[in-house]
This record gives sequence, structure tokens and C-alpha cells, in this order.
Amino acid sequence: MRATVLIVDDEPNILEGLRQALWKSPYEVLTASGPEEALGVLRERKVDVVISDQLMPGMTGTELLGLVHDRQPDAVRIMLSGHADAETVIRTINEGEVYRFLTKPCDRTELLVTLHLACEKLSLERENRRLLALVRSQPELLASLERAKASSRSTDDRDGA
Amino acid sequence: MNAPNAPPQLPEPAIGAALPSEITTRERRGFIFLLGAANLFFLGLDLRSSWPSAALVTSGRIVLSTALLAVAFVLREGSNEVAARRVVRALALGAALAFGAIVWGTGGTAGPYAAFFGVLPIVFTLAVPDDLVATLVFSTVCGAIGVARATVEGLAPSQIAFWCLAHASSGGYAVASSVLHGRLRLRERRAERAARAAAEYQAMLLENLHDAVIGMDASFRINAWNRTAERLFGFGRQEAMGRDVHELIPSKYADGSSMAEILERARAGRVQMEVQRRSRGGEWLSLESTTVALRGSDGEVLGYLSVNRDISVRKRAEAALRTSQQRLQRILETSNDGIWIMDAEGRTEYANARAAELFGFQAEEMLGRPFVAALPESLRSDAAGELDAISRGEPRQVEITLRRPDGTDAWLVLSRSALRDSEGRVTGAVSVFLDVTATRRALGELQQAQKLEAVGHLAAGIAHEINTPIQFIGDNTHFLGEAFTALAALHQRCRGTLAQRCSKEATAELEQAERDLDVAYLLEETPKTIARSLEGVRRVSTIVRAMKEFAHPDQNERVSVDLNHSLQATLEVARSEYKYVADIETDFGEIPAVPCVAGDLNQVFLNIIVNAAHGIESAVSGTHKRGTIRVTTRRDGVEVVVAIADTGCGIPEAIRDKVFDPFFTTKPVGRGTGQGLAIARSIVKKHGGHLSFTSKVGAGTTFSIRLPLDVGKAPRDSAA
Repeated sequence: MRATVLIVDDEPNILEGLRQALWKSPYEVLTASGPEEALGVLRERKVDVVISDQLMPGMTGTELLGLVHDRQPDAVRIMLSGHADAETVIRTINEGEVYRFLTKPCDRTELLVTLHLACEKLSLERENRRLLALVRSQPELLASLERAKASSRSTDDRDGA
Repeated sequence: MNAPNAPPQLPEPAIGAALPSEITTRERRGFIFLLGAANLFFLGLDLRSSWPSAALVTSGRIVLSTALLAVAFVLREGSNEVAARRVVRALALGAALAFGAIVWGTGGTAGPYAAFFGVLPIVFTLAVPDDLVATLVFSTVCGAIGVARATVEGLAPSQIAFWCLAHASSGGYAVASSVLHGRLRLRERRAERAARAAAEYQAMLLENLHDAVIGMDASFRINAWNRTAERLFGFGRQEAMGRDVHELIPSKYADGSSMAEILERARAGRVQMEVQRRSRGGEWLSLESTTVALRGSDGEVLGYLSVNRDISVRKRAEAALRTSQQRLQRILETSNDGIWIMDAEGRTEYANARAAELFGFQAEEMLGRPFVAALPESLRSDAAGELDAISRGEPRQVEITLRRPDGTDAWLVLSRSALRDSEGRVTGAVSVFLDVTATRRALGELQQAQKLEAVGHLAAGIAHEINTPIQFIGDNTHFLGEAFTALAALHQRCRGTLAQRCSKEATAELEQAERDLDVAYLLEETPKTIARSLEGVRRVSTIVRAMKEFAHPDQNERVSVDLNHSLQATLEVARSEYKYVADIETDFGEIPAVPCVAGDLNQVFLNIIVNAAHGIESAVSGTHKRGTIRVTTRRDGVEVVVAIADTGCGIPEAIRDKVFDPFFTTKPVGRGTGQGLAIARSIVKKHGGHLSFTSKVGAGTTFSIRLPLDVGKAPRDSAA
């Protein structure tokens, strides 16, 4: 299954440019031209990676990624901004808990590498969670199996008797 | 307090004039002549009478008169008057007693009475010479008794007349004597009164004199000491009298003389001098002392008089005034502002050292000269207007630029106000020059820094704006490249398919179309074009990143900065300045990060690199040669050294001292503000570093920036 990437930027040219940069890549690309639209997409779709601009009308990228964290906690969050001053970077990483901070202009290779790593992280996390759930569910399974076996044995005993 | 310099003139003593001994002598002589004449007259009368006793009386009178005359001649002027009077009285008494005795012996029964009543008035007169009334009454009574007795005895009328005349002669003597004595006594009393009044007046003067009067005898023992002296020196009159003046009040004269010397000098004439005398309390009083020698009529020095005026108050006032004047003088002299005072005609009355220094003169040179003469050429043009304004008393506050004698410019704020006399007439003007050069420089630097900060902000903003289109231009170009690659592949497959399966005509038609469109060229060139576009995008983004890194508009704190990186960014930004004239060589050493305000330091690098580029440009202009800017970094102990060397024209020896001066520039107007290196030096100083250069005319200049690695050793100072 292809990973879903949501790109948020108030500049349509950026959205189209990135969509083209991800042409032939193993991702399904969704775009939103503003934070509100992005939140609308999140309500309808489950996304794996969100790439957001920092300066947008209505809401900063930091705030938006914070909301993404609330709505879909396992989505990997990446910031792509032309404003790369230290304060913004620090605040975004601390408040939005973003995975990477990319600066514009960001070339295709860097973007693809970042997305690849993000998806790897995501799949590892998901695998981790799945295995954890599996480990947690196994004692119950074992217990139920034991119960089932015990009842069948008694049945056998009865049958055998 | 009036302070006459001359000592008060004492009134001349009048006592001698009140005792006219010569006149007394003459009068006495006259009186005795009169008496003698009266006796001679009586002698004539007696000679005519037949009474023998009358002849004896007359003889006695002659003897008496003669004796009195003789005494009168003996009593010549100059003799002791009192003694003379005693002699006269004794003689008169003796003569009277002799006369009485003769009368007694010759007068028969009437003899004793006649002797008694004839002698008694004379004795009485001599005994009580001054009581005129008593003498008259007594004489009259004696006369009346004599007449009565003669009448009772039945004497002849001529005898009665004789007795009467005899008694009247005694009365006359008494009257004359009394009048004489009375006059003498009156005159003496008057003279005494006058003398007493004069003495009292003098004492009063002396006592009430505001000056301390000290009288001394010839051996310097005090014999006069007035109330002021008591008050000033603290010794009472009784204590002071008779004491040696040197012991009582030790004195220090202004010229260092001792009091004995002063008194010695006073013998030659009046000595007036300031003196300090010690009072009883040990306090030294400042006095103005006048000392004179007092001489008797024969010129012998009888004593000395010293009149002392207390000038402590005056001295204190003088000292206070002097202190005040000195303070004012000091303020004027040491003022950091130039102070220049001129009269209404514009001539210099006073210029303090600072003013003189500002205009390149000695203060003495300016005195009395028209102010215009001291002005440099640049300020002389409106001097006439200025003089006019000064004479009208117009105040003025204006900022002027002054070319100093050493060639530097000074900015001065001139504040001039009129000086007026008590009637409001303008007597001149005082100008104060405040040197605001340092302030102007700081202001210039601040303005420059603000300008740079604004430019930095703008650059950062522009960089942000450019980044967005760069992002999508890059993405799009990339996409175009991929798309073209895909289309080219498709085209290749189409051609293959076409060649295998279609007719020759169709193939030829396609080939013809390909040739018409020059597809082979397109296939070859389009990927290259796209690659070049991507390279352009990369370069734009490099420049933009360098611009952002260079500007650091918001960073005012020191952070650790990789100077190699900063230099690279600065070279990128400055490329337009040097790329046509110079090549860059970099030799970046292994240097640790340096704590600094990166934006400020980049400013330093930029200034020096731009200067280097300009230096090379003027060296190579007109030739096809190119210069080299060589940037090296290396660590030197606890410092990092950045060296920026150029192969430009070099800095001439004459201006090497000035290249760091604010507003000094050799560049044409509009090209340089002259502040670049001044600001660079101040930035490096703020970082605790050192900016220096070596230069060789025609070979180039190398600027070295040394920056300390240990921030603790450098004063932390946020960039202004």
C-alpha cells in the first residue's frame, strides 16, 4: 500500500512543484492550500506524512502540526519553510514535535530521502505497535487455548470414560 | 567703613597760648609805674602841707615806690612769675609795715589809728589780692573810719582830704591789683578749661577711633592704649600700660621686618604696612599699621605712635573674592569647551586654552586681534555678518565644521550670547564652542549600523521571498527534465516500432518532420538546458543563503561562529565587487568556532574585501590584468587570525594614519562614506580583537583581524 503524503502550503506553485517532484515516487500526494483545508483533509483521510509550510494565513505551520499531532498522532510531521531562523526551528521542534525541518529551497533528493526515512520510521513504529499488541494478546490466546484444551480433555475423558 | 590711609591729625595743643607771660609782665610794669606816679603826685600834695607827719608819710611812699619800681625792673620777662609775685608781696608788706611804724612814731595820738587804718588795707590787699569786692568794701570802710575820726578830731579839711586820698590810693592799688590778678586767673582758668577740653576731645577721639592706637615711649613701653586696642588685642588698658610692646603683642610685618626695625624706620618718617599681630587669645590679626615717631620741639624722639586698622574682614573678603575669581578662572581655563570672549568690535578679549587649541593658536596670540583673523578660510565668508550680529547683541546657536590645523575636521556647536553693561549696551559677546565631533562620529556609526540593520532585514526578507519561487522553479525544472527523458524514451520506441513495422514512405515522412523540427538537436540540447537551469537555481539559492547568513539581522548576542563559513558567505555576497577584477584564493585553516556577533563580523570582512576589490580595480584599470584577493585563516595560540590580502595599489604612507578615521575616504563622492574601516575597527575592538594592516604602495595591502577565542578575556559588549 502506498503511503499518503499531505502537503500544506499557501503558494499553489509550491504545491504543484512538490507534486511533480514526487511524480513516480511511491507516495500518494494530497495537497492543501491552507491550514483549514488541511484539517478538512485530515477529517476525511488517514495520512502517513504531513509536510507543512511555516508562514500561512490564519495559522502557523507550528500550530497546524500541533493539531495534526492531536488528530492523527502517528502521522510523521515535517516542516518545510523559508524562515529558518533558530527560534522558529526550536519552537517548531518542541511544540509541533516535528520529525524534520527542511528549508526552502529543498531539492528533490533531500525531499525523497526524508520521505523515505519518515515512512521507514512510520512502518517501524506501526510494526512495533502491531508486535506489541500481538505480544499483549498472546497470554490471553494462550489462556483461551489452555482453557479450550482443558475442556476438550475433560470431554475426552468423559468420552474415554 | 572708610579707610583713610593718612593717620588722623591730632589737634594742636592750646595750653601754651593760654598763658601770655610777656603780657603779664608788661602789665605789671605798667601798674608799678602808675603806682609810682600816684606816689609822686601825693608827694607834691604832702610838700604843700605843713603837717610834719605828712612829709614822713610821703617820704615813706617814695621809698616804697622806688623799691617797687626797682623790683619791677628786676622782674623781667622769663622769670618765674610765682616767685616774683612772692617777692613783690614781701616787699610791699615790708614797706607797709615800715610806713605804719613811721606813722605810729610821728602821728602823736592819732598816729596809731592812722598807722593801723593806713596799713591795714594794703596788708589786706596783699593778703587777699584777688577779692576785688572785699578789697573795695574794706578800703571804703577804712577810708570812712579815717574820715570820721579826722572829723571828730577836728582836723583841717586839707588833712581830711589827704587821708581820704591816702585810703583811696590803697583802694586803687587794691582795685588795680585785683583786676590784674582777676584777669590773670580768668585767663588761666580759660586756658585750663581749653586745655582740659582739648585733652578730653583727644581722649574721646582716641577712644572712639575705630583703629587701635598704641602709644610708646622712646624705649617702646606702652603709654597709650585705646579702647579699640583693648578690644582687638584683648589686653585692658591697665594691663597694657608700661609693658614692652614687643612682648605684649608679637608682630609679623608683611615685608618680614621685626617691629624694632619698623620703629627704627619710623624715625625717618611714617611707615605704613600690613602687619599681623598676635592677640591675647593667640589669634593672629591682620592689621594695617601706620607708625610714626613722636618728636619734641628739639627734634628728640619722645616716643612712637602706632595706629592699627583691623583689616581681617577686608582680608577675608579679599581672599573670598580671590578664591572666587580663581575658581572662575579655573573653570574658564580648564573647561573642555572652547570659550572665546570678544568686545563689541569683534576683538578677542579672552580665549581659553581649549578655544585656542581648536583654532590652532596660542591664547596670547589671539588677544586683542579681530576674531576674523583666527578663523579658518572656510568660516571667513560671513564674518562681516557675524560682526554685525555681535554688535547688535544677537544670540546665536549653530553647528559649524572646522578644518583643524592637523587636517582633521571638527564639528563644533557654537553658542554665542551678548555681554551687556548695566545699562544694557552691548559690550561684546561670549562664544562657547562645544566639540561634538565624537558625538557626530558615534551618530554616524549608529546611522550606518541602523542602515545596515535595515538592509539586513530587507535582505533576509527578500531571501525568504526568493526561496519560495526557487523551490518551485527547481521542482518544476526537475519535473521537466524527467518528463523530457520519458518523452525522449517514448520517441525512441516510436521510431523503433516505426522502422520495423511501417512503410518506408511513412518512415521517410517522419524523418523529414524530425529534420524540419531539428529533433536531434532538441534531444541533445534540452537535457543540457534543463541541467543548466538547475545549476542556475542552485546558484541563486546559494547566493540567497549567503545573503541570509551574511545579514544575521536579529542576532545581537555572541554565538560561536565558524569564520571560514562566514568568510565564504561574505565572499559570495561581495562577488559583484571583485569578479571582473580579481580572483579569490582561499586558504582556510583548521580554526575553532569564534564567539562573535556574526552579522557584525561579516560587515568587517565585507568592508575589507570591498576595499581590496576597489584597490585592485584602481591598480588594474586600463590593463587586462587581474588581481588576487587572498583570504587565509589560521589559529595563533588563543587567537584566530583572518588575513585578507590584495594585490591592489596599496595605501600611501601619508594617509596610513588616517584610514581608520571616521569620514576619511579617498573614494569619489557617492562611492564611500569613509566610515567602513572606522566601523570595522570599532567592531573588532568590541570583540576584544585587533585590526591592523601592512601595505606597500604598488604591491598591495594585507589586513589582519585577530580575534580572541576566550570570550571571557574580551569585554562582553552587545553590538550597538
